[in-house]
Amino acid sequence: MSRPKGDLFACLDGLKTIKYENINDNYCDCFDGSDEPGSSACVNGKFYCANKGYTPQHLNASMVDDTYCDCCDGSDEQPGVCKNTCAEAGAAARAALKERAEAEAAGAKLKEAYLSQSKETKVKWAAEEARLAKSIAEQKALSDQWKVKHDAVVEQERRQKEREDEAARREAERIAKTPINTAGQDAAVNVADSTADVVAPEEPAADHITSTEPAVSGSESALDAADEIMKGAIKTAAEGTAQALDMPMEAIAEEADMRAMNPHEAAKQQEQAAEVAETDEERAKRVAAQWIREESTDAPAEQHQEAEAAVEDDVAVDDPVKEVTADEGHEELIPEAPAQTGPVNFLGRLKAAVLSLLKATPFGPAEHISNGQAVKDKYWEHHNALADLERQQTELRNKLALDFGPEGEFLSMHGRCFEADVDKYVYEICPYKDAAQKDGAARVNLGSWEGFRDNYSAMAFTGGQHCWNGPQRSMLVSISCGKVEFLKHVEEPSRCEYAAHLTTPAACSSEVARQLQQQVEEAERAISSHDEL
Amino acid sequence: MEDFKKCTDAAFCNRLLGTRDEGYYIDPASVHISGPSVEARLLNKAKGTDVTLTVKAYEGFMRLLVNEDASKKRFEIGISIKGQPVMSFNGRQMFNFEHLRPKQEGDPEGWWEETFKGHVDSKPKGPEAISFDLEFPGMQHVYGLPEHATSLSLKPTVDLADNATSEPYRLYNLDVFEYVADSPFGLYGSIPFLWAQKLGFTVGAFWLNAAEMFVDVGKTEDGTFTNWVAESGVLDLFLLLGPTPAKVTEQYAQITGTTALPQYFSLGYHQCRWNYRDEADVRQVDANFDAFDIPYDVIWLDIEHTDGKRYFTWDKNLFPDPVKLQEDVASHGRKVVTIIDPHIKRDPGYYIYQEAEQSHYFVKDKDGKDFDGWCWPGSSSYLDMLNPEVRGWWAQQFSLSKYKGSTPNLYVWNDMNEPSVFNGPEITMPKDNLHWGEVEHRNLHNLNGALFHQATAEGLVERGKTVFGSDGDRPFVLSRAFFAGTQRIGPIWTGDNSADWDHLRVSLPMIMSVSIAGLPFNGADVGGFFGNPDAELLTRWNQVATFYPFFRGHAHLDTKRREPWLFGEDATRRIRDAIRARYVLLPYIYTLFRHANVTGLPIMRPLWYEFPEVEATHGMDDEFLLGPALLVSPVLEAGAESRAVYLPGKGPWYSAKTGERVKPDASGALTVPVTMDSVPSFLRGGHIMPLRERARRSTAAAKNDPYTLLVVLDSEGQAAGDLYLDDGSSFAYKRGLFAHRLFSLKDGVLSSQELPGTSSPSRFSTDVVIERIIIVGLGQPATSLSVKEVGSGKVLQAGPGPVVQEAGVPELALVIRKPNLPVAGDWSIRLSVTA
Repeated sequence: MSRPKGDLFACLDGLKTIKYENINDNYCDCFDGSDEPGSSACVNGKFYCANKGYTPQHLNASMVDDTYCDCCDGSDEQPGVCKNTCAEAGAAARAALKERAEAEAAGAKLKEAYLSQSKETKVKWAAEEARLAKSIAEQKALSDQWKVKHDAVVEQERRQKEREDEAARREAERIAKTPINTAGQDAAVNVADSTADVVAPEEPAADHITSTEPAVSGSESALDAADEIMKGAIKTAAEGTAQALDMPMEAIAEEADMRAMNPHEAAKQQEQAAEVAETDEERAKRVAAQWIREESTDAPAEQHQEAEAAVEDDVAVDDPVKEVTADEGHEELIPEAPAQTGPVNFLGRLKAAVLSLLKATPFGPAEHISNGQAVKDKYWEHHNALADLERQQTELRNKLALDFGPEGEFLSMHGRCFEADVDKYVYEICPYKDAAQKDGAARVNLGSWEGFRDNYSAMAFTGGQHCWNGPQRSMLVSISCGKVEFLKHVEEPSRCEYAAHLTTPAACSSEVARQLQQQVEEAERAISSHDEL
Repeated sequence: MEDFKKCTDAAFCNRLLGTRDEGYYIDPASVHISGPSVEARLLNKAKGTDVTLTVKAYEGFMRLLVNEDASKKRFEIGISIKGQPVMSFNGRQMFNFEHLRPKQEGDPEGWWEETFKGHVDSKPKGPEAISFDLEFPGMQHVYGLPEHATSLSLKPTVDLADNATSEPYRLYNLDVFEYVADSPFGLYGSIPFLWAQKLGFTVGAFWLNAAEMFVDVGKTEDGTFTNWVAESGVLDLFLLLGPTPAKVTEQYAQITGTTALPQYFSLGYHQCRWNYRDEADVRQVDANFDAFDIPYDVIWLDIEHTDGKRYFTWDKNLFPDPVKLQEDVASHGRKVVTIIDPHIKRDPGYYIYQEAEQSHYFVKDKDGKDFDGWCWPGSSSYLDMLNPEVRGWWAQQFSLSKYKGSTPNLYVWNDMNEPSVFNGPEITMPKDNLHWGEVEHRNLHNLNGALFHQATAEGLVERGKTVFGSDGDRPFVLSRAFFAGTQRIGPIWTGDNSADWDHLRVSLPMIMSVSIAGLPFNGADVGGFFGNPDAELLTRWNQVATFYPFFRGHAHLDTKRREPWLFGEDATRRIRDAIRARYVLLPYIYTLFRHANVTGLPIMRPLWYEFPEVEATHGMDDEFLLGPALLVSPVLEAGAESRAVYLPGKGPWYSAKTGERVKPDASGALTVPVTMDSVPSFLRGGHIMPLRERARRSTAAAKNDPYTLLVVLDSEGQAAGDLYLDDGSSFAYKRGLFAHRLFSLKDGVLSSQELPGTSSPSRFSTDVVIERIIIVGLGQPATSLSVKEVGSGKVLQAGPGPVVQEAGVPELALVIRKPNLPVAGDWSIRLSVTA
């Protein structure tokens, strides 16, 4: 408080000067509350409690003299209203502080281990990266070599095809000039037969490749071409001529299903179904579902689950082409089990069909296939090995690019998951990967790793499974120092926005531990000197 | 809206709405006059039938009753009117009365059965509808007939040629999902009470009938005509003759009662959400109100707090120690409300179900079996609250010994009591369900929720007597469904609104419509129940809700959290200001509630209610008055930079923020610039408002705080106002333990005395004082005035000061500093001009 000037007091905001006798007289004269530090008179006032033996406090004036004890020394209320509980509060606070200091120190020690481990891991990854880089260089040379041969075979096959086509054309012209005795269709068959007879076989391909064909720069691989064809195929399939590509019938059926999964359509269909033959129970569920949009064990909500499932599936099929290009070129990703359902499977099978078409279609005469095919197979073998190595390299580089904290302390959590049981659910968070809510075998994705937030005090997982009529699920995990990794306080403070807390030694700091220890010592000194008084 | 009926879907509406029957006449031989009562028989030659017409004149209103002879047993709601027992009825000859009759071959379709969306109504009594027309000559505005989400002055539903321009106003209590902001469709409550007004004359008409009803409104050059039809019951029509709005209110209150005096705490801010998840969540929210220095009085628990939607139980995982939780919340003077709904889970292991089932307390279906409908718990039965024994049994369930985990700090919320039945016709109960005494549900549907509400409130009254002795504890029970008379039980709210500006705007006519229908304690969910308000909408909504008679923030399960501190510092500050402004006004608001308790006067009033002589006000509903003294013209548009204000009468009016005299143009119009901090509101000259300006965390925390008197002078230099004081919670006021102070300033003397006409002498005493008197509208500069206590001659400190005690507000008022006059005692002070 500023000093009185004579018998006048200047309010701290400088807006008013009041009589000295009006200070602390339980009437607000300064609108900043500066004349009433000891009463509730000013709306914006602050009351200071000394709280000896505990921590001093600036209390809102609204809590002064309201019969409720807020300061542990009871100074905010009339004498006799409150007990002084600062000694107990202080003891509890000191015990808590001590415990925290110990935990911080222990955690900081563990963190040292984390850090050295982190260093080792990074060194290991760097070595691995170097090794991969070397292997890739070698493999690339091999692959390039075989690509030249492969392209020559392909070129040769193309020319052969051209010649065959030309021969066929001439033969067709010849036939066209002769009087027509049979139906056109039969004639065409004859043409096809006779072409096979007339055209002379090409010379063996292998010789040709090494000597004459120029090396093809690796920019446009056969796989890219395959991809192009495949996209085209998808388009064609979508236009309803899928059978031309020999697509399995189920795939077409599935496409029909995909169309049906349009959320509006689905909802409409459901409604129509409800109109037609709605039982009492169904109606009740439908009406209840208007208000509740969550999967829940309560019966009235069940129908919503179905609606939600339908919508979520729809989200997945939103952009099927993108889904496939993300897995570009990895044949092993093509699902084989026909029992699998869903859009990925459909596209996978389509792609398989295209690739097998591409590889198996006999562009050249039968006797040349084995030879040319061997060259192509060899090329694909090397190409795939290279792709595999490159993928490993990408993975490793991605890993190395991750944010493991200022000192790399969070690398310890890479590849690990932490779980907490809350009610009927198990919540799982896997740093650098994703977060999930598990209920038995059912798993709801609560978000993928987004990164750290707020100066490494929280981890964010975002873009999880959509909520019906709501946002995508997300999970924010706050982090604090602890002796072990322990996931707790899992909550859903807003609909589909989850929160949790994780303790980990990685968040501990020897500096903080030192400061806390200092505070503990100060507090203990203060209390012993107070006791002496 | 497909789940709900239109007029054409209801056979009775089809038959009678808009149809004429010119055959009725009074049999002259049957007229029998006895005192203020006239009885006669209405004959219809064409039909060969007759009915009894009784007309009784009371002070200020008339009762018109039409019934068949007693042997026919039409459902009649019994009421008692205290005290001794003019409009055009049947001017369009639309009176019609379908007599109860035996079923005959060849009866038209729809008489003995009708079907809607696959639901068959068996209609065992056949057609029994009643219709009539009521004209209001010269009156261009009709109001009331809640509950509808529409303008206060009811828009016509038929045009001059009797063609429908919209659906008629429907009165049928329904649980409507995401109701639209402008519609004549029926909502959660029904009060068949219509107002009509022209310059110098205000009247009302009340049809005491709880069956489904449709009302058409048509406007002609000569006035407004209305056409009413109810599916069953009797014609028991009260014509209220006014001639002022306050008189109509008083006359209606004679018939249906006045507002129960509420718990003082219930006028504070309520924080609700579906759902505060667990005990930790409740504690966190409670603690944050203190941390952000925002006052609040009640935290609410929605259906998820229960064990599987079995009301009176707790989810043991989420709320393992509800008693401790309530005690902790109560440790700062606050309360907890839990939800208790009327659908009882059909679970033999649930004690409420078991007892009710064994005692045959449930409503029966048409075949006499316990009705089985679906609601939150799944398969449920519904208590038959028409039976007084069931209400008595239900009331007992609220005793502390029966309601495990409850404490005296727990109050109650009755939701879904229309009743909501998810698989029923129009999401409610089949009309051919049977209540006590074989009464069909169709007859009492609109009363159903009020009976449940009443039984619950009775339970809290009984609990209060047990806990606190004979003075007891006033109940606090919020209901969604309502009917005429609900005001005697407790507040209602306007149900499941949405987080958009349309719903913010329509909340004002909705609240005022319910308020003038005798039920002034009501409010709308702040922020909108469905959807997510942004910071601007939530801020504006709180700024409006400062003045709602019932002030509760609420949100749907699917919405983002929206406690007041979650929208950034500016929004937090503004919402804090809005809620604090409410607490500053509480002495004034509580006094308004005392008036509602005595005479029925509304709290939030349409402009025309206070200024019936100003015709321009008759169609307005985007401004309102809080009591007589404060006019609020809230910002109801996104991104607003100004607000068009209308100030009726000659004033003078003063800005409630700066104390400046506000001067509208000759028509009363004025445009004021606004920022996000603005809540354009105006002090009406001639009134004194009692306030409590100190910031507190709850009403209980403020109980010893001093008061401020805000005195706003009229053009004669006079002002008057009052303050009602009691313990704020018990029924002790009923035996005279209250003080009702009248403050008046006249001829330079401001005095305080007990309100004349108060029947018992003031026996409520308090040491609390008045710490500040602010006088606005003095003719001369405040520096030229001195103030002395009359009698002692003590000089009081007085000088120029602001009307709101904040930095930067011009010092346009006279502020008397620390007069420390007893708030409940007699005194007078004299203002004189210093030489």
